[in-house]
Amino acid sequence: MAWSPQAEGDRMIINLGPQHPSTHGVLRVILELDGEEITRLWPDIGYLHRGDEKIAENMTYQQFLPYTDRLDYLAPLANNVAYAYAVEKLLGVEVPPRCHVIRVICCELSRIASHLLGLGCYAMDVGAMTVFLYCMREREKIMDLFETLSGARFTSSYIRIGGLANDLPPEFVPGVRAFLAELPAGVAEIDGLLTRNRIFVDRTRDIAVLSREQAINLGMTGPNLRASGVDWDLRRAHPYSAYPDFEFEVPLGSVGDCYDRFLVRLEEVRQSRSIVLQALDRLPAGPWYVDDGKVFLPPKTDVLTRMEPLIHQFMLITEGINAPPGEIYFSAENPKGELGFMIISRGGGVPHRLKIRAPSFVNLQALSVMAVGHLLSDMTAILGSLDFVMGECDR
Amino acid sequence: MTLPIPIDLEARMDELIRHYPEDRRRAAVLWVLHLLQDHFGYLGREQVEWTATKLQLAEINVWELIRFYPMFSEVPRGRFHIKVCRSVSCEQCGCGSIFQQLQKILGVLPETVTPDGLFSVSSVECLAACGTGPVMMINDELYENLTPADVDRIIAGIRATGRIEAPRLLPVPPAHPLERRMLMTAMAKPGYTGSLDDYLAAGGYQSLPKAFGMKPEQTIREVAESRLKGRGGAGFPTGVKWKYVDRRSGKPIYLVCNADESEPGTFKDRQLIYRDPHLLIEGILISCYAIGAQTAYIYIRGEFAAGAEILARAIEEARARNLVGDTILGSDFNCEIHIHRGAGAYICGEETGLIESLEGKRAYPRIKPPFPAVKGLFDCPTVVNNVETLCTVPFIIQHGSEWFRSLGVAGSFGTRIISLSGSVKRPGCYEIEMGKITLRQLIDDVGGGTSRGLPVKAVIPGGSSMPMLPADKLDVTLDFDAIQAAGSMAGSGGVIVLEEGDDLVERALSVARFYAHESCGQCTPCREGTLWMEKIIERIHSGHGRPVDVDLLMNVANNIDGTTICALGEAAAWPIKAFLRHCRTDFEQAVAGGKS
Amino acid sequence: MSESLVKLTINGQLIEAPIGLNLIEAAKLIGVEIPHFCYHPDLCIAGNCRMCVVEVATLRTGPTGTPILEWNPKLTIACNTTVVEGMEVLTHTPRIIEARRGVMEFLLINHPLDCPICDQAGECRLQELAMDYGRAESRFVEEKERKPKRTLLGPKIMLDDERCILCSRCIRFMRDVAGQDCLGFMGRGSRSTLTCYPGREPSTNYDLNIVDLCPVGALTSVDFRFKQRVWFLKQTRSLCPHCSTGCNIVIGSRENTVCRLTPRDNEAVNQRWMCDEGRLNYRFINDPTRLVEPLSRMNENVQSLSWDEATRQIAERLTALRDGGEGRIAFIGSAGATTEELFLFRQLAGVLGVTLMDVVPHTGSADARLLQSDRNPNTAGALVTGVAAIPPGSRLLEIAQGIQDGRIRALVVLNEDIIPAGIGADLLGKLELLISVSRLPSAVTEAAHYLLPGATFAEKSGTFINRAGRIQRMNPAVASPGNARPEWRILAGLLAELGQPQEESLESIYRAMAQVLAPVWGVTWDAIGSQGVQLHVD
Repeated sequence: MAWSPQAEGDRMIINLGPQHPSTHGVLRVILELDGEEITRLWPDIGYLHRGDEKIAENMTYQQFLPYTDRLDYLAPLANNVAYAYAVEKLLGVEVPPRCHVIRVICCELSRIASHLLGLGCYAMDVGAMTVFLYCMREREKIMDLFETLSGARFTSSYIRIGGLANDLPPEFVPGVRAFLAELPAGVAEIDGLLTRNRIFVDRTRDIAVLSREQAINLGMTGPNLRASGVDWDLRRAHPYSAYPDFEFEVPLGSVGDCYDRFLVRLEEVRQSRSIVLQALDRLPAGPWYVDDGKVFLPPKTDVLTRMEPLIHQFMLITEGINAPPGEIYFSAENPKGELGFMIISRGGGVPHRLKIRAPSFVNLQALSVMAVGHLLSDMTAILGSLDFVMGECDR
Repeated sequence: MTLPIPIDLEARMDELIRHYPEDRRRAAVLWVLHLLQDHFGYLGREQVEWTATKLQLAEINVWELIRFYPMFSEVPRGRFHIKVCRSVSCEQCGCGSIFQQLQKILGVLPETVTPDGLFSVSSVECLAACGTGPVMMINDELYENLTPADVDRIIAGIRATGRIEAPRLLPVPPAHPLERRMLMTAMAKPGYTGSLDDYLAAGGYQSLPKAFGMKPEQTIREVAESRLKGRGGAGFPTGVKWKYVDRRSGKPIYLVCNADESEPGTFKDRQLIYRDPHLLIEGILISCYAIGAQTAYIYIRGEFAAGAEILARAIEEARARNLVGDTILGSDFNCEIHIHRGAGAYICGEETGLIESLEGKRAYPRIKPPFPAVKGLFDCPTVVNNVETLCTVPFIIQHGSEWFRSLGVAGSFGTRIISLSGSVKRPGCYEIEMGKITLRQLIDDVGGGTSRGLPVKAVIPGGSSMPMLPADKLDVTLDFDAIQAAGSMAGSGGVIVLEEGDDLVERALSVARFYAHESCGQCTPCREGTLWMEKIIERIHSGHGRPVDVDLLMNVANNIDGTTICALGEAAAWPIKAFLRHCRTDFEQAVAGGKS
Repeated sequence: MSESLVKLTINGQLIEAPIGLNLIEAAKLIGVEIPHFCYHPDLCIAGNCRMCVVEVATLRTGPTGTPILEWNPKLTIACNTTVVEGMEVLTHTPRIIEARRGVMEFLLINHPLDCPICDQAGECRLQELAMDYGRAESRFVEEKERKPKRTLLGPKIMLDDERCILCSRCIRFMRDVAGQDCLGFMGRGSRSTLTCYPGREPSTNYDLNIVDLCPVGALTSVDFRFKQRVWFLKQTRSLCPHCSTGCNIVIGSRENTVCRLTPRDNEAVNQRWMCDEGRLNYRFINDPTRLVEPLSRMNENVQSLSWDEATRQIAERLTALRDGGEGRIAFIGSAGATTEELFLFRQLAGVLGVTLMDVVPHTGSADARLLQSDRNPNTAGALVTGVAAIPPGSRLLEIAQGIQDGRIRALVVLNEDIIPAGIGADLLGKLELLISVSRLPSAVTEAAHYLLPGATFAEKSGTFINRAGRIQRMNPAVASPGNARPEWRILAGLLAELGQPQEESLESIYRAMAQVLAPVWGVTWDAIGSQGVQLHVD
């Protein structure tokens, strides 16, 4: 039996979800209503809990990588990248420059895809169906690009510890350029349909305002935090990968309402596009994986013809990378916020403990604060503006 | 045991078995195998099983020896089995042409027998006759200074008579002015046969009674104060080695004479054994007296078959005059000397490898400690000394350590016999006072200069295990310290001269092939590394070298150096490293000019 | 026996070690692993792999009489160096790591690319140390040496000479431990090849131990060849039931199939070995003819029953027989049952007023090492619990007589085929009630009125007490097939049906037993652990 609070007085408890088109996944929001006004709110999570962190304790670091795709499953590549950097920090290895830049491209394309889908769903929930389709249209091109890159549109597991699954296929860079050339028109359409749309503005302006202090105290990260005017982006605050080489702006909101959260994300799409263009122009040649046979699988031709590579292939696959004992935390600025991995290693190929700091898990707790005092019909706008994913919230 | 063994053959075996302790019959296995192979022509399963039964061993204990010792063969060889030496000095002298000539006139590939069953040919490693190369052995006889025409003549002779004509020993030339003879004095006398009477006439067997007049400890002290250093290759102070002998264990003490001369470029022990056996015997007797040994074994390399017989006859001569056996010269000192034949393995020159071989096993050197002086042959205290070292002992006892120290220089007292070979006009054995003559003098004055009159490219000063010295080091004196300071070691005293125009990569290949062939295979770095080095150099030499191979070769050599059970690792690594240090451009050119 | 200890320093840590201990063992005392191939604690030192090199300094007296610490300029092998007072040892300096990298490279240059087809993968020392100490790339571009690849050394062992790293462990074992000097190296240098003289293949009862010893896949077990990848095997600690030695073993199983048995260390019982007979005797566990259901033959046709029903019927009939008169029931237990099962069996006998009981001895020829002539693993347990007569088997005649005379009308047989033991089919035919607990069909199971399927040693927890009086534990590796269940559960069920409720778990049954059986007083289940406890048994 699921837990249910007691309503105060003659207020009503209703469930929004877990089965609900606007909850963006399996989230159950318990609302206490006084008429139409939300008096109290409890997000009830865990419906998508799969025991990821426990699973990680029973497989090698490489074997766990596909599970990271399924955290924030709207930005799988970005999760892969954050996880890979975390494990590489534990191992003390540094990937070569080309790999860093390719990973940035993957993260930023993921950011565009995630924001487009988030905004699209947000708009659709608020009534703008067309915008959803326009967003999906652009996002489809990214899915096709990922398929070119890795063979899979969606949960691609393209990243490897110490490198990537493969180098960029020759059609990838032209494909990205073509997409980036078309993207501004698509973003302009979305902008034109929403930003000055009376209905959209009415439904989002001054709704669910989170002040700076509130946002910080609630541990928010990502566009939600920045919408409240806090200038905190891990790509700037704790630079990682190739981000120090690129110029981009970090859009900030001023009010911290649902409208700001929309504007910030829309602008981030434009900034991500700029980063990807810079990355393509400055893509270094060279190796795309770390030159360390104790970490990265040898090329298959070597595995089949030379002794040490054959042995290393066997050992890396069956026993994993022999990580040193130690404890690390690494986090990245993912589309939803700060995605962090804390790994405790006791040596060997399997982690002793893997804790995932999921941005949606932390962001979602703001819901109880943000929605109180608003109407039931505002819930969709609030939920849409938060842009969370239950995959990473529940793990 | 259905093998038909003639009674007298088995009697001979039984006699030889008695040369070893009762519970150590296994030690007689090489003798038994030699006799069986001489009789049957090969060692098949029946011979193995017969031997195992005879010596109460497991069959594997016998079988595993046959492919370890190249003198043995599991299949019949030709009635006249020809072994052509292919080591570095003979290669310098053109052994290839001899080999080709044999193949041409016999029409047979190596390791196969001619259809008439008469001839088979093998190429073998150093036969300790580098000064008279190219050489070949036919059965037990050695033929020196060969030309292709000689080969024709010899083979024709065998075909005509069905017998081998034993070549005569070449006479020892008179001393060169720069020589200072001591050990080689008697053997150089015209008409000297090495018989007991000849030896006595030359003043022999006077040191022995003198030693008996001293206490054994005094004898040791005399040798120790002479600062005599071993002449086999390691240069260890002989007196110190004798002092380490554990005299309180209650076990018998053994003296082993290392007559396994196999270091390429070295052929001096051969002269002593073949020409003056009694000098060696006297040296052995005095040394046994000093260390308290009543049994001595002369471990003589299998290829010195005639030498073994010469020594055996000399021992019997000595026995007849009460010089060997019980109560020698009326004293209360007993001493037996036994001959023990090897069967073709350089590693038997390593003292613990020798001891393992003497005990009847594969010649795997032992881990030290414990050292042979404490636990050696048959787990008893043992001293292993080189032939030349033992031959020097009578002179020290006769004239005293102070006299000995008047010869040579500090750190290298006395004389030693240098084996000079390679690209010189007058190769041969020359006995010099250590420290008093330079390499340049040896090569130019004594040796008559390089073969083709071209400048010296490099010189290997102490047998192929020692690093070569480049041409700018020729003014180094021939003594232990000077050669070490110059970057090499005096080793076995085998000086090999390499001349401008010689194919250095080919020489390096010959050296690498030697160590790969001779590695016993016990420990990882030597076993795998020596063959790897050979393969790399082979590839470079045949034109398939890559630029990385030169550094790779150096790195492989470095990985062998210092990590092995015995010194064969260093012996394999040092020469290659020296080749690369001093002749790197030769290697790089071979790579650059290659086909890959 | 007091040992002299010396103080030495390893990697900066001061330790005390007994005189005579080599550095590999000394380092183990502080948890430092010095890698090695040819060293083995039970074999003489070979010192040929050169992997265990360390840097060593020893004290020597200086010119003024004060001790000086002198570092050996060359790297020293740890296996052949014994501890000395004041010694200092470093085990993982850069120079040492470099030397080990060189050794690994040498070992791999002629090694065949057999990992995909080599049984050793997953427990291969060469793979493991190559990963820890070797290069990640190969610098060898020459042709590898070729050697014979698939030679049978007797019917049990397969030899692949290309994989052999010439560590000589097998040679030393066969010569010094198994007592058959049959292996040696032929050839020289890199062409050395492990060989056996034809016709003199290993033929001792300990040959398969060289498969365990071999650090690579050169020597593999024909029985296990290509059966299973070892990383899929569940490893369960257990005991070999083949004789009264009770060698400590590991059951390697996957998905309820036992794939192999291997020995595990127990210094007090079997050191690191087990005999081939015990090792190869596991196929009966997964035999397709295993009994899987309780059966009743009370009414001419065979009827399968549920456990509850079978237990109820059996309890009812035995009670009736007990109440009808004394001495009508006899018990035949098994010295191959666990101590707990024998304890419950004895209890059951007590409840049913049975005083005539015994076990069936099984004997075979002993060898000079581990295999005992008593082929029952728990004769001591049968004696301690009072199930076995003294001497065991001496009352079987009495039971046979009783059946012949008609006094004994019911027989409960636990895991024994008693027909070869002297109670023939005609005698069994006279019984009113024959209850057989068994795993595999036999003549007695064919004659039984009630047939209860039991579990092998691989399917249950329990203890055996070996011939030296050591109580040891086994653990379940696989599930019993069908409805078969461990005998202790069957017996506990019967006792419960007879009004003697039993503990639920084996461990608690053990505890109950340990309070009652004198030799086991005070020995907790945990204390038995994985190495057992020596009891004081007369």
